[in-house]
Order: sequence, then structure tokens, then C-alpha cells
Amino acid sequence: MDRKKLLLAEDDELLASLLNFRLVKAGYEVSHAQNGKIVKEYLSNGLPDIIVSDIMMPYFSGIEIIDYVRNVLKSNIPIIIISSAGNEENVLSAFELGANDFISKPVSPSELLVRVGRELNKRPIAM
Amino acid sequence: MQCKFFTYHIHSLLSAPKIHTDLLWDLSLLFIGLSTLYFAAVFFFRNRQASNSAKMMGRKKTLAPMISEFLFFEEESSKNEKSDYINLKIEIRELLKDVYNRKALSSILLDLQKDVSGDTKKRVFKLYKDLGLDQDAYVKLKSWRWEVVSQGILELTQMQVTESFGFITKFINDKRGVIRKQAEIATVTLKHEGIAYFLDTTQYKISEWQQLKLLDVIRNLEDFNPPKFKAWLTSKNSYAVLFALRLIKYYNQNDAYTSIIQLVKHKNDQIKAEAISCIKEFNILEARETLKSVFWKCNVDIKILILDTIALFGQEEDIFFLKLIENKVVNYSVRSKALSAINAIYPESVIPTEDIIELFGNQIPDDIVTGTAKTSASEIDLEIDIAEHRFKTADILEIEDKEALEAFLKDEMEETVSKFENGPILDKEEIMAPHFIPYIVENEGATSNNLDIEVDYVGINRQSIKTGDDTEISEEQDFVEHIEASHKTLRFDFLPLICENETGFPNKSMDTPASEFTDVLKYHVFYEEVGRTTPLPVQDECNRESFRNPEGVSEDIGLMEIDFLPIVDNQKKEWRDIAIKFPLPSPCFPIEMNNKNLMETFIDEEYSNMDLLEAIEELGDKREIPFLKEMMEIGEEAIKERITELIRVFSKENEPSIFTGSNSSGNLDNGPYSIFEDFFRHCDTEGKLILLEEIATVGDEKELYFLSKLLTDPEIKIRERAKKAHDELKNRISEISGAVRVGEEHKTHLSVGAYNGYGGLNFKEAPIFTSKEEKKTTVGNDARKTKQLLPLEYCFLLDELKIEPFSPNSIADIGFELTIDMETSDENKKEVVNDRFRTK
Repeated sequence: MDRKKLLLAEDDELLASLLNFRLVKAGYEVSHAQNGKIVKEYLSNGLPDIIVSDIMMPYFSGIEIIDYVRNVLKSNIPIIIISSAGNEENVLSAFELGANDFISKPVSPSELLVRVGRELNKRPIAM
Repeated sequence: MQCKFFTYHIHSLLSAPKIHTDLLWDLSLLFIGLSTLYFAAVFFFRNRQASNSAKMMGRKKTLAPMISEFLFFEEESSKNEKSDYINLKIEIRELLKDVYNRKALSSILLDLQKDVSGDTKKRVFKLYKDLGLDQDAYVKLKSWRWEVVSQGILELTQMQVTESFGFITKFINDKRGVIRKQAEIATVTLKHEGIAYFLDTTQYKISEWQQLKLLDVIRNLEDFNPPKFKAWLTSKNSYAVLFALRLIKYYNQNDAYTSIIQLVKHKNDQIKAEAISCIKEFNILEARETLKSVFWKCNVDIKILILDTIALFGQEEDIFFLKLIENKVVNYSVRSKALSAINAIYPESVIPTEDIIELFGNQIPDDIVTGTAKTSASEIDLEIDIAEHRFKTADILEIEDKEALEAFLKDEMEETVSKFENGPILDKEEIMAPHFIPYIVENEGATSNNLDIEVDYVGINRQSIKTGDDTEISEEQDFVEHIEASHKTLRFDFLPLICENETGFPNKSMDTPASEFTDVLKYHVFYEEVGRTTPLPVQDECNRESFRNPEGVSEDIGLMEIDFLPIVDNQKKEWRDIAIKFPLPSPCFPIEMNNKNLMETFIDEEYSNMDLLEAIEELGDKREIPFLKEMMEIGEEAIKERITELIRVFSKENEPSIFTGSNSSGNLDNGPYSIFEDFFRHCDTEGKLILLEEIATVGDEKELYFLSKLLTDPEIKIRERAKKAHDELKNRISEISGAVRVGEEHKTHLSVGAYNGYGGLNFKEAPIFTSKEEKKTTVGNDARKTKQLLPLEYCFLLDELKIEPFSPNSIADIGFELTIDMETSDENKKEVVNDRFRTK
């Protein structure tokens, strides 16, 4: 059974490590990117099945990543954004640009797993 | 050397001290060394810190997966995973022996608890305690360094170590502000009752920022049940009181009205403002007076707050206070707020006045050229009428308000009274107020029967009564004493007695000024009650006193309600003898009528008799005819006519009704009631025939009357059967009466005449039964068979021997009388009963 590829874009290494551990344990093939630049490099080489990205990241924010995927790469892969509480404007912008789902910090790893699984079930075939 | 010379000799004018150059070089070298040492130390410590940080990051990177392994370990894991978990535990315990590792673990967990939520967060807390990292935090609490203590408190608070509550609360009143604030946050966070402990304990200032943070902590507590914060409104710490007020408002604890109102008087403006804010929030109407009382001693901000609050729930009585502020307070903001508060209470009561252009009616400005349109005079009049009508309507609308209307009426009354008291003479139309005694003068030559009496009214003002001469007043006093001797009660309402103009009485029309009626007290006027009036709560003694005192009398008169009908007295010749019967509220002193004939004529005879006749008409019947005839002998002409009419009516009632064919079976009344009548009404023809047979068999004399009515029934069968049944029943009754007939027919109370008219039947022979079997006649044939009649011979024998036959029900038989004559009077009935009893 093929493991779903998941790109985790999170600059907080500790949180990224925790989520990475949890997602790998859940059966995903997780790639971790600490900033927006690495994310773009990764996406230029190939698209994952799903992207979980923090909004506030160095170099390129999560909003820019979404715009890049939707408008540059013309991809419809599911994107779940992670945002701090009270950052509604960015969340709304992300949804306008094509984000599929949203999860706020502090993150519940279990909740993230559910959302990722739901988005992947909606889109079994990635472009 | 030249250099030295240059230094010391050329610039000799300089006042610098003479320091040896070597010393300077030495000092320079010293400072260079110190700076080198400083920078070396900085470099060293920086590198050390960076090394430690890097080392910590490395440890974190190493320990983070281990922490993740611990956090996401599940009991349902495979054996390999469990084995790895156990190995990891052993490994981490070894790592915990290193201080850096402990710090790294603490740091990891503290960071993680910020980024994760839900079950993962709880696992983080649990892991923190399981690893014994809280012990490090406890150690930090004992440090002398404030930042270490603060960090220790923060760790324990963030990791939800509730066991540390007791250790942390010791720092609530710490002198060091950072520790104190950290301890306050920790106390409120760790336990729900922490807020109460904190408010009870704290003695220091609670800053606004700290209050916000504490409120935020409380707000985010799960399942937090806030205590009643009114308990801290009495705290000695004014900051605690302030915070409690804010918490009361936040949690809507509106059960401390009295304390909040009291706090409006607090000397602390913050508390005062917060209390006013609470009052505004909870709409505490009781605080209005307090707010108004403290207003003048407050600063501008508090005044504006108070005015805002009054504007919110102010009432009519607050308008005066607000007007006072508008007039007295200099501050522009406060005055504006007062005006807005007035408008808030009564909208549009204060209208804009600044920079308003004054307009005078519909005057056309000079710079506008008017047209030549003509308007007819009638149109102009119509417009004027409409305008007046609108004006009146507007007035009416304005006084629709109840209080305004009352005030308006009061003013109108007072104005009218003043007209009465001060004006010389008033026209009829002008007399509106009840403050007058009607004085009615009949035109000369008019008779009592003349209905075209010109009745004028004149207001007898108080002045005219006061100016009566002494002799008349003396007579008046005598009169009062005289009427006190008797025991008749004066009444409020009265019928004014109208006297004809007579000799000696000045014939003064109502056009004559009232001042000419100064001798009005000479005239005694009778007033008789004709309706209900409102009694005034005046004591008898006061009434008497007022009666003795003409001024008092006049004042009393002014208070009385006038409700009267005029009575014309033509018979009186001596006007001086006519006594005045003032309509006093409730006087109980006696009065003796000087004109007895008059009273007898008008009251005792006419009105009493008329009342009596009305009662007789309503309740009486033909039995009152003899009494009415007696009354005719003593009554007046009108009464006689009335009595005649009543006798005629009662006589008509006495006549028996005449049955017609149409209602013979439906209108069966005015005769002895037969039990078969009801059955008969609800039967068909077949049933009626059967019923008639039964009547003939079991009926008694009451059924004779019923059968006689059926003789005129429209159905032939019923008529024939009724005739047959009537004959049979009559024969049967005759047989029965023959057995126990009472021979004395003159004692029967059965009125022959009463039956004469019933269908033309002759009931002269209708008997009265006093037989012991009498009551059994309607029971039925079976009952009849049980009681055998006595033979005639036996009855005669008993009669000769004067022996009454034995009867077990002889006593009960007395009560069973057959009273066919319903019109028999009670006396006749008694007589009949006595006769019957004697026959037994």
C-alpha cells in the first residue's frame, strides 16, 4: 500500500518534530520544510498528496505557498493551513486563495490527523 | 623633551593639572587591559551561552522524538513498540541525571504545552510530573533571585502542577512586584478558588494590566463557577474592591445593589466610576437619589458618568435636578450632558436654539414678488374657522394628559369661583361652579301650578352673608339653637324652596347686583334632599360652630355640592318664618319645621304615599285592594288616581283566565295542578287517550279541573275521552265522598265561584275531602286497595256514639288538606283547617 506523501511546512522544529512523529506513526510519508523557500524547492521537484503548512514562515508565508500552488503550479492538491488563534484575516485570505482546511494553534495532533485523512479521502488522486 | 616643553610650557595658560606622561600611559594601558578583559569575558560568556544553547538545541532535537514517543505511546501498541518504550524510559532516566538534559526536557515540555492542545497537552502535563521535572521548579522557588523564583512559578503554573498552590500563594504579598504578579496569576490559574484566596489575601495594588490578565485567566478556566464577588466590596484593599466591582459587572452578579449604591460615595474615583458603571449596567433605579447627592462633589468625568446613568433610567422628578445642573454647572460637557439627559428622559423637550433663524409666521419676505391671486372673503373666513378649530383641537390634545387636564380644570374652577366672589352679578351661563346657594324667585302673580316659572340664580357670595345685620344673625343663632333641640338630620341635597314675591319682600330680579341682597339671611329657605351627595368629613361640632357663625356657614356652603330640584311653595305668606335648611355634610342636630303643613303635604303624605304606592305596585297583589281603598280616603287627588289605577290592575289579576281552543292543552294554568298535565303535554294522541283512561281510574278532584280544560281540546278523540273520563272520575269521587262526606258544606273553602268560569262547568258540588284516604288517592289502585273504606252505617254509628275510628296515621292526616282555592287568605286557611280538625 502506497504511503501518502505529506509536506509539512513548519518553522517550529519542536512542533514539527512532534507532528512529524505523529503523522509518520499514522502512516504518512512526511517531508518537513522549515521555511517557504524549502517548500518551493520541494514543490518544484514534485507535488505531494497533501500540504500542511503554517501561515507564518520565513521567506514565504503560507499564503504565498497556497498562491504558488494554485496559480503557478495550477495544482488542486489539498492544503491545510495552521494558524495562530486570532489570525482571522490570514485564514480568510488563505481560504480565498484556495486553502482546503484550517487548524489553529495550539494544534491537536489527533485533530490534524482526522483533517488530513478527510481531505485525502475527498481527493484520492493528486494532480 | 621638546614635546614635553610644548606640552607644559606652550599651553601654560591651561589649567590642567600637571600629570606625568608615564602615568597617562599607565592609565591607558590599564583601561585597554580592562576593556580587553571585558570583551574577552563577553566573548567567553557569549560563546558559552551559545554553546549551551546549541547544546540545548541538540539535546532538544535528541530528546524531542523521545518525548514524542512518550506522548504518543499507546497501550495497544505492538510488543516491539512496548519494548522500545521501556528502553526509552530507561534511557531517559539516565539522561535526567544530567542537568542540561533536565533543563532540555523541561524546555521541550514547556514549549510543547503551548503548541499542542487536547489530549496531547494533558499527556505533556503528566509527563512533566512523571519525569520529576516539577522538583526543579520547586527548587527555583527557594532561590533568592527574583527571576528564578518567577521562572519557577511560571513553570509550575504552565504545567498545571496544582500541588504547588500552597507554595505559590506565599508569594502573593511578596515585596518584589514580578514575583507577586506571577504568584497572583498562578494562584488564580491553579485552582478555581484561587481568585477568592487572592482577593482575600492581597494587600498590594492590582494594576489595570494585572486585572486584565487575571480576568483573562478566569475567563479561560474550564467549568469555573465564579464566587459572589460582592463579598469583596467591603475589602480594605480598594483595588480588590475595584476588581470585585468589575468582576460583578462581568459576571452580571446583580445581587449587591445596596453595596454598589454605597460605593458611589467612595472617595476613590475609580471605584466610584465602576460603581456607577455597575448601576448603569444593572439599571439600579434606587441609586438615583444617591447619584444626585454625590454629583456636586465629583469631578467632571464622574459627573458625566452620573448624567449618563440618569439619562438611562431617569424619571420626571429628575428633570429639576438636570435643569439645575444646566443652570449651575459651568463645565460645558456637563451642561451638554445634562441637556441630553433631559432629552433622553423626555425626548424633544429641549430643542436646538443655537443658530436658529427666527421666522415670524407666514410673512413673505420683501424680496419675493407676490402674485395677484385674489381670495374671496368667504374663503378667508373659512380659513380662519379652520385655523381656530385647529387651535382648539390643539388645546384639547394638550390637556389630554390626565394631570394637565386636572390642573386645567382646577384653574378653571378657581377662576369661576373668583368671578363669583368678586363679581357683582353673574348670568346664568356664567354660573358653573357649585359655590353658590340657589335663590329662586317666582314672578309676581305666578301660581304654584304655573310651570312657566322664571327661575333665576344668583350667587350668594360669602361677603353678602357676612354683611347681614346683627339682628338677623341673632335670629339665625336662635334658629340654630332651636333646631338643635329637635332630632332631625339635615341632609346634603335639597330641594330649594321657591317663594312667591310677597309683601315686604323686595322684588329683585337676578339682574340686580348681589350687593343689594345683603339681607338675604332674612330669608329662610327649605332644601330637601333629592339625590345622593358626597359627604364631607366634617365633625358635627364644626358644623354647629359653622352654623352659629355666618362666616363659617358661608365657607361650608362653598364646599358643598349642589344637587337639587326646586319646589315651589305658594302657601307661605310669612317669608321670615321659612327656615333655611343648609345642606351641611352630616349634621346630626335636630331641626323643627316651622311649616308643618308644608312638610306634611310635600313629604309625609305625597312622597311617602307615592313611594308606598310604587312599592305596592311592584310587589303587591289583589290582597292589597282593601288597604288601597283605605288610602283613597286620606290621599290627595293624584294619589287617589294612582290608587284607582292600582285597584283596577289588581282586580284584573283576580279574574280567571279564559281558555281558548288553541291553547287549551298547552296553557294549562291558573287551576289546581294535576300530576298528569306534564305527562299529557309530552304524549302523542294515543298516549293521551291511555293517560285519560288512567286519570279516570286513579285521578282525584285535581284531575277534574284538568279534564274540564281538555273538553275544549281541538282533537275530537281527546275531547270525547276527556268527557268520559271526567264523568267517570266525578262519579267515583262522589262515591268516595259518600263514604266519608263531611256534611257541612258551608265549611268548605272550595269557592264555587272559582270554578264557575272554568269552561262553563258547574262545580258547585265539588267536595272537600278530609278522608284519611285522601292522600292515597293519587298513589294508585294498589294503594287504594290496601285501605278499605268504612261502610256508611258504620260511620253513622260511630257518629252517634261520638267515637272516632282508629287510625294509625291520624296525626299525619292533619296535614293533608286539599286546597283547591289558591286565593284563600291565610286567615281563611287557618279557619278551614280548624274546622276540618274539629270534624275529626
